[in-house]
Amino acid sequence: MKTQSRSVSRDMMAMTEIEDQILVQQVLRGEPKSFGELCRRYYPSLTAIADSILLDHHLAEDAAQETLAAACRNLKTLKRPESFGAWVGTICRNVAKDMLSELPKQRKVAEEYSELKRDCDDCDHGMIMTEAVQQLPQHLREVVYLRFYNEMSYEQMAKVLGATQQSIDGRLRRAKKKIAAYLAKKGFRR
Amino acid sequence: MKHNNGNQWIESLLAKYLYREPVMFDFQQWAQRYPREAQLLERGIEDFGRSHETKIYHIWRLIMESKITRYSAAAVIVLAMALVLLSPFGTPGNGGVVLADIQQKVNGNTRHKNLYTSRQGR
Repeated sequence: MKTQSRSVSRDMMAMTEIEDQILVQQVLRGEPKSFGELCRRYYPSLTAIADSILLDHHLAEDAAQETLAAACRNLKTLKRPESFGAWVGTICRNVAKDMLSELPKQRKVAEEYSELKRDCDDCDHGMIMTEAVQQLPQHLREVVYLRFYNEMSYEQMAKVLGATQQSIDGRLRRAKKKIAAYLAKKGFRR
Repeated sequence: MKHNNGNQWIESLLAKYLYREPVMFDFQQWAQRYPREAQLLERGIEDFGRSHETKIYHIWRLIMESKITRYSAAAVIVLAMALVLLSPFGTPGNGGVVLADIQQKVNGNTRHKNLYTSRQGR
């Protein structure tokens, strides 16, 4: 039963990969609608990836849009159109990191603001959870954001991260373990 | 793929505090923000790819693709620079012909000629 469901999910992944490939080829031939479809497909995951780096939703949306512009400019250089998701995910990571390095002042102000907020509302569960997620290493935080930001499936995550579902599951478990340890340290009760 | 472990309660907390409504992508708005890219999409990227810049980029990518081509390209550059800087062929020190040497020889010859004609004139 398990193997059957696995093969079905593999087939589904192959289907979407083929679709991506076809869409990329259509874009190269000059069909803007296909690019729109690719954007609609990956925009939420790109926003989640960018948000996991920038920790700001509006900036993350900007980064996702910039990523799609960069993808459009460089689509000709994409060697394997079936891995468009992983490719555009990598671009998004780089764009978000560039944006982060360009915005040190704004980041400082935001941190000061968050510290102020922490002083006045220290026992807020939401704040502690946010801190717990923020203290994670980037590669784990990215997986947590993708999973819980838009309730993304493992298949979708595997596509955009260019990783297997097993490795994503491992990363998620490690992230949850770290979060649990952090919460325990902070005296967070279930 | 989901595992029932001791950290299951964290999932509900994460879902509670991290969840956001999926953001919808507006292609028209994006096209207005990035008009150059929108034009590119209308034109077809395959034609755009044949520009001079992308040709250079492709050559660069071809060189950098494997270790062999990368190191051989570096070796060629180093060799070319060594040839230019050290110039082992055709330098004055190693027997190269320089205008000053020719002038010196011509001057020497004319001096001998003058001496010879002046002696004959006596």
